[in-house]
Amino acid sequence: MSDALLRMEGVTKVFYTDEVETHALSGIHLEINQGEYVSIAGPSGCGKSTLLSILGLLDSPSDGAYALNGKPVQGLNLAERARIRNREIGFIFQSFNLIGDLTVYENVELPLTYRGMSSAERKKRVNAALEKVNMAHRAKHLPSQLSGGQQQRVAVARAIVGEPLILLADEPTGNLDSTNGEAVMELLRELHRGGATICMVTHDHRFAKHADRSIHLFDGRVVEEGQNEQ
Amino acid sequence: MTQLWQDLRYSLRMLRAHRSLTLVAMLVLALGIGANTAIFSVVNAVLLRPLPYQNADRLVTIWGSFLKLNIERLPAKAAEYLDYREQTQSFAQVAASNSTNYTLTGTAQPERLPGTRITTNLFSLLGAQVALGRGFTAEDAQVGHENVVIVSHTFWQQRFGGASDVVGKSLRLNDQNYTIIGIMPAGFQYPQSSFPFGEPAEFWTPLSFSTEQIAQRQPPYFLNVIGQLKPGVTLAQARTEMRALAQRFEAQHPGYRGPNNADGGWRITVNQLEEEIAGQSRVALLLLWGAVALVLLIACANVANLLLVRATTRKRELAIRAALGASRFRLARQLLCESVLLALGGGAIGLWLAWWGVEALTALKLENLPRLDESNLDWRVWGFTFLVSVLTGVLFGILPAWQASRPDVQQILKDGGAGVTRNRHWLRNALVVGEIALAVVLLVGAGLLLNSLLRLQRVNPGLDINHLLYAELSLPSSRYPTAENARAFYDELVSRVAALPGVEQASAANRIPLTGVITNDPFAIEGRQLDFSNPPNASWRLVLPQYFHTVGIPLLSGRDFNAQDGNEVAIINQTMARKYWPGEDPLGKRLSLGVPSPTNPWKRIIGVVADTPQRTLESAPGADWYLPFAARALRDGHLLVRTVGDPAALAAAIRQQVWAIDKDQPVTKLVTMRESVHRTLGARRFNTWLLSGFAGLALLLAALGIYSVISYSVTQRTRELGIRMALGAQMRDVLRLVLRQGMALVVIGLVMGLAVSLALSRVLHGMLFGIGAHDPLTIVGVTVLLVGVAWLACYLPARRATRVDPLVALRHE
Ligand SMILES: Nc1ncnc2c1ncn2[C@@H]1O[C@H](COP(=O)(O)OP(=O)(O)OP(=O)(O)O)[C@@H](O)[C@H]1O
Ligand SMILES: [Mg+2]
Repeated sequence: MSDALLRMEGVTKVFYTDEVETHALSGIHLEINQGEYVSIAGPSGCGKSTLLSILGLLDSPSDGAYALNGKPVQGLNLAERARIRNREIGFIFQSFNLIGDLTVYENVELPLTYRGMSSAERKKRVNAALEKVNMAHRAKHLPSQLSGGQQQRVAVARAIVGEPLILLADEPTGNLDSTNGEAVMELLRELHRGGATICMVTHDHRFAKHADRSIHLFDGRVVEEGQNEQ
Repeated sequence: MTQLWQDLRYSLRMLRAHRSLTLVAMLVLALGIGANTAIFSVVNAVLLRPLPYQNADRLVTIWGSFLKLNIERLPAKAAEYLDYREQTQSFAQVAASNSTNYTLTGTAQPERLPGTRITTNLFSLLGAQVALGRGFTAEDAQVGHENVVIVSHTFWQQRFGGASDVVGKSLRLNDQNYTIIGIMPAGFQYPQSSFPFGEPAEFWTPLSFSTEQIAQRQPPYFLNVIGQLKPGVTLAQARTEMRALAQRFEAQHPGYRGPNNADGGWRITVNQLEEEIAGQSRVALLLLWGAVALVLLIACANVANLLLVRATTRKRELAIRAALGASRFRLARQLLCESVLLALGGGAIGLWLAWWGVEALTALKLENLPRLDESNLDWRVWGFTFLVSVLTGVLFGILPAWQASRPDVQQILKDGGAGVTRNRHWLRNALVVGEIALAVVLLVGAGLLLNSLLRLQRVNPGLDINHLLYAELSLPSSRYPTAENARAFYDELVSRVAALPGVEQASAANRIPLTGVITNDPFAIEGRQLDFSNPPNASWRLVLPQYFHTVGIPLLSGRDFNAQDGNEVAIINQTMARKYWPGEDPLGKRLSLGVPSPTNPWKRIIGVVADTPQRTLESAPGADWYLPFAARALRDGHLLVRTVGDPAALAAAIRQQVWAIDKDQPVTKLVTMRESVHRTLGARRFNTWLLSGFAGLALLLAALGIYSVISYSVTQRTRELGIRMALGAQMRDVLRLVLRQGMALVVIGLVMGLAVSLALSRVLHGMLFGIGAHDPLTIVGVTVLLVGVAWLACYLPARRATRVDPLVALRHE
């Protein structure tokens, strides 16, 4: 139990808007171990993205405890949270979220620039990450010169370049056609085989099966959890 | 036409719909246009508006000058005036005047009032007529008939309450009775306060010349001559004719050669009157005009920027219009219509601001900026403002209209769709860089002038201007016919005033230092060959004993004048000693004012005093020397009083002492030295503070420009900033990112602005004091100020950027 990379206990998230309380998450218990590949599924509005935001320290729970790598994260200030996001977490978004004014290389380099790493070291790492996603030949291009699939591969490279503890992917294939989606999924599997810990939100049953374990959310609660036979 | 009407209506609706943008833009424009209107109204009054006389552009002044003797703008002798009148072809009329002060008695207190003696044709030359009574006729100018007077409208109102039976009454002027024969219309002035001829007169009396005066061609040089060029005669033609006349004078009459019959460079100078008045202020005013034009340009760039921002938000609207078949021209016209309306709105507010500005400017009552008090918002100013507003509207509207009128539908779709954030606005960046560069140019100019003013205020005046007071006195020859009479008056006055409690020392002199007025004349040194074609020249003053002690000029060697000194001693200043007796002791050497003669004996140097700036604080010390009162008859002089406490507090007591000696003697002017010196810097302060004000405005507008661009860019980049923060950017990373973007523009603008300033530095050259046009301190100061203000303008939106919540930024896709 205690060797879980990531542990949530009784996490609740309530949004207050115009006197309406939305219980996006209620009493979530979740553990993810080192090297695990977990997928999260559920209908729209059930709280998947909210859960991922809290896992990624972009948001904090209204109640409950969350420990990353054995260390509780409640009570950390903004700077410390930013530091953890930068070093321990890799984000992959549905809509890629590359910065249009930066080249592919610069986009991938971005997380490293916030660490004060030497540029030689950065170069080594960025090139390695781009090799991994097979985009090294496009390093000097701008995102707008790439296809959607290629952009998402660059985003994956950006997520892994910092060698984070965990990759968080929110519907990474949502904006892609099936061929490109397939390719990105294959890439994630490969990373997993290489030892990466991944937590991915997806609607697609085919892709959910790629994971070691699937979690189903409904109305902010975990309703089903099961190992996938590989 | 109906289309244009439609455009107008639609424009108004758009302006109303975007109320806050409209308001900000109008305010920015109002500041720019208002400043331009205010300065234009001064330019209009000082440089453009004709003098309020008939054919004002054909009026010229006629002066004599001895170029080789450094004597210029010499008024005419009676005989010369008559020759100008009768021996020339260029002029339709030639008239002359002589402005003096008259003592008016028979009223509650004796008063000294400015009056002008005029040739009887002067009013007709100016196209002026009396409002009541009659004008002067040729008979009035005959000797013995000249005791008639025409009074000004103000004088009539103030002294007689505008009574209609005033014609025929009499005034006691200089102890003589004058009969009032006419009243000039309200508003008529001659001379104008800006003329190089003396103060505006309260009344006019006829000038008459005795036959001896004419026949003997004797001084005084007392006539200010005005000519009216015949229609079609150019200034150059008149000058040529007068040059020939001057040569005839030189050939036919004595008195037109230098000492010892050398060439004195005698010329008759003809200048346009309006030009002569505007002359010195032209450069400064044009400079200010240029400065406000730059401010307006900055305001334009600012508003163009605001409109560009709005144009991006209106892209979809314009794309639809284009899709519905609106031509590019039509779209552009629609947008231009909006900006011109905006500018006209700004112009209207600007006009109102300018009205306040002009009130404030004219309230300054600067003596050395002629005709400033005539500044007002006349039709010319209204027209100017209208024109500038329309031009401004087109200027700032054209770029956004051009950009927005070619909506690229594909581009819009692409930008809207992809998960890529882009951030391109080179045009707006360029505008901001331009604004900063212009602001820097103004700041450098203002900095240089401010620096000059500060230095000037720290100049050692060579005397102690604190606790020093002077009174101007002008003794009429009727009561003080001889030099001895006048001397006795001043001696008694000085000893009485010196005895007053609170007075430390008193003395008298003909000329007050640092007020701009000096008398420069050639002199001869005993035992040296006089080079008559280029004699040594120095300014001289008549002073009573204790003058140096009273004004605080240190005596360096020798002694001061004493009561026994006559016509045969002199005191020189250090510069004169150094220049003419280098390495020698000047004490005991002798010199003379002009060529020595039995009535003008050699004067032995008995003392050397320290230097003072020669004319005003701005001038370098020159060769000055001093003579005792006994050297010349002195009626127009100044009492100087050094006080223990506040000098102004003694004014009343001093007046009383004057009246105790002579109850009919007015005191023309009674001011502290400090105030008087302050006043000589009036025009400079005016230029400096105005330019600084405009530079400040420019800085403010440029800061607003940076702020709006960075602020808008932060809004545009919210998503990008969110991504960066999700990836672990710290607050300082975001702060640095935004600040770097802003400060890059600032640095480019700064460098460009400094380069332009260095290139333009010659423009300011003549207005600087004590510093070069490339003064490094000023440049450093401007850089620090600009960077500081710009940093603040960037910091505010940058702070906002750090508050972006990555979650929110990423959700809004
Ligand atoms: N900032 C917020 N303020 C208010 N309500 C929110 C906020 N964020 C999410 N919610 C609400 O919380 C619930 C969960 O939202 P969430 O985005 O986690 O759903 P999801 O499972 O990711 O849905 P989808 O599959 O459509 O992406 C929804 O009802 C949503 O409206
Ligand atoms: Mg979601």
